[in-house]
Amino acid sequence: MLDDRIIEETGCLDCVNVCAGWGETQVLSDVSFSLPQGEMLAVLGRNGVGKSTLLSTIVGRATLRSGELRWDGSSIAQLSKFQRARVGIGLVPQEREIFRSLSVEENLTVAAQVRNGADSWTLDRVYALFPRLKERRTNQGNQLSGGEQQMLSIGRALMGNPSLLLLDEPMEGLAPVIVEQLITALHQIRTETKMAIVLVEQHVAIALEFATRLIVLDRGAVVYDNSDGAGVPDRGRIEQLVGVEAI
Amino acid sequence: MTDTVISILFSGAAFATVLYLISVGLSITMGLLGIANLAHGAFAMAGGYIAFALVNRLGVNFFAALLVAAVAVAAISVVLERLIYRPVYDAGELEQVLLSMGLIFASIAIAHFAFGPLPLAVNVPASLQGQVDIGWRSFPAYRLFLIAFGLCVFVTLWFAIERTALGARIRAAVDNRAMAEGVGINTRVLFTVVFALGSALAAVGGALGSEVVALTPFYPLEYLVYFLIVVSIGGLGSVSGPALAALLLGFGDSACKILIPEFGAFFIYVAIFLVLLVRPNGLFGRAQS
Repeated sequence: MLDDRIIEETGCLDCVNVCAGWGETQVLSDVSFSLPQGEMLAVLGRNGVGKSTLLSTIVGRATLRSGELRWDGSSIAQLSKFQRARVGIGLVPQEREIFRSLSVEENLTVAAQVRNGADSWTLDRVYALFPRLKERRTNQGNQLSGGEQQMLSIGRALMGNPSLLLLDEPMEGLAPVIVEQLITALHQIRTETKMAIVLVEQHVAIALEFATRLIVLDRGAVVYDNSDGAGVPDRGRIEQLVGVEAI
Repeated sequence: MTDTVISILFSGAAFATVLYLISVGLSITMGLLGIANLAHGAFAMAGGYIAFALVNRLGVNFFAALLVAAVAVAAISVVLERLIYRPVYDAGELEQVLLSMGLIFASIAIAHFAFGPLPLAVNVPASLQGQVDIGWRSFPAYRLFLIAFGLCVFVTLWFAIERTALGARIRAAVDNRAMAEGVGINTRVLFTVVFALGSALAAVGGALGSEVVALTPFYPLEYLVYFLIVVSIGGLGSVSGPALAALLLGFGDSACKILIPEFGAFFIYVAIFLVLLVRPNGLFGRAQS
């Protein structure tokens, strides 16, 4: 069984020479980075370069073929998906993946994990962050707009009180006014809770708004690495690599 | 005329109750893991034979025997789940079908060996024998009890699935298993619990229903089509879908048998064929889009 001590601490994530993929297909080759506790890393890159596969590998959906994944110093490569959630890794997947036959409130409570600490997330706190969810708390998961689904997906991840939050293109396909709200909410989450965040983005401007630590992926490999956050990100170079202009 | 209609509705409801008790567990386990456990009817038969042996041969109290049958079959099902089903979870449908068909044939052989080929029924307790007169017509007391029992099970299950935290976890896992794991739900443990409960209900259905659906060694094979119809029309992972589907099937079956016995179940199969052509995910399921 997992040690309680691990769950209470705020962890840090180490990816060492990660090669991973789906079934026989390898998508990621030799991806390495280290994310200290409470810090934020942006992962940029074009469509289909392996950004989502990286997050899927961390939560155990994709297959880690070689390399090492460490959480707080100990390997998580052998842990199953639900065990990784229980050590404090929360995912906001690209497709949001709201439980459609659960109400909004059930979507949140089903994901609740209690951890000690003054800054832990509760139903009331998630509703305070996204008042819209409170208004729609009795609605079924399949009766929500795209923006509401995204708020719910983020709220659901927070209910697990993660020490590592993985966000997969949370602004994708949403109206500008909703994007504004989500950016405000993300800033609020950042200031209120000390958790590590990995943000997968296609838009350089959004990524730079949050993170100085960032990596750019191309065809499954790291082509720009500022994951130690030491230098000022080279915006021109990043935009050239990502190839799409920001909003 | 009215009398015929009442007969159809009454015997249809009794048959539907048996079908529902047996099939609802199958619907939820198939919805949870996508496992095609065709041998589910063997659990119902096992429950029936265990209750038969206890009541008819050892003189045990009817309701105590029901409880023993449910617990015993749940225990057997968990052992089978761990030892035999688990290795084929990740295999294809063909392996699952072959395995569960093999279990059906094994259960037929065991039942034939232990109880012989003749149809058997668990003795109804004295308190439930005879007729109940409800003013303008009398009904067999046992069948009234059976239908009332089915209603209680339906209400309890509906509450458990739709209104409790455990039920929310089960629905979440039926909706999206990877995401359910991603929020910390151990879906394997959840599945074992549901599998055991579903098998226990099937055992109760087999034992309570032996007065309507007699126990024979070929039970799991003979009624397999009915269980699968309830699951496919009712939809996977649902409590109320199979209830409505079982009622439709029960009424249809008894209407055909009473009104046009020479055609047997012909019209039932035609109706199901048409329904599934139009609604491949069933009429009431939590259909995956």
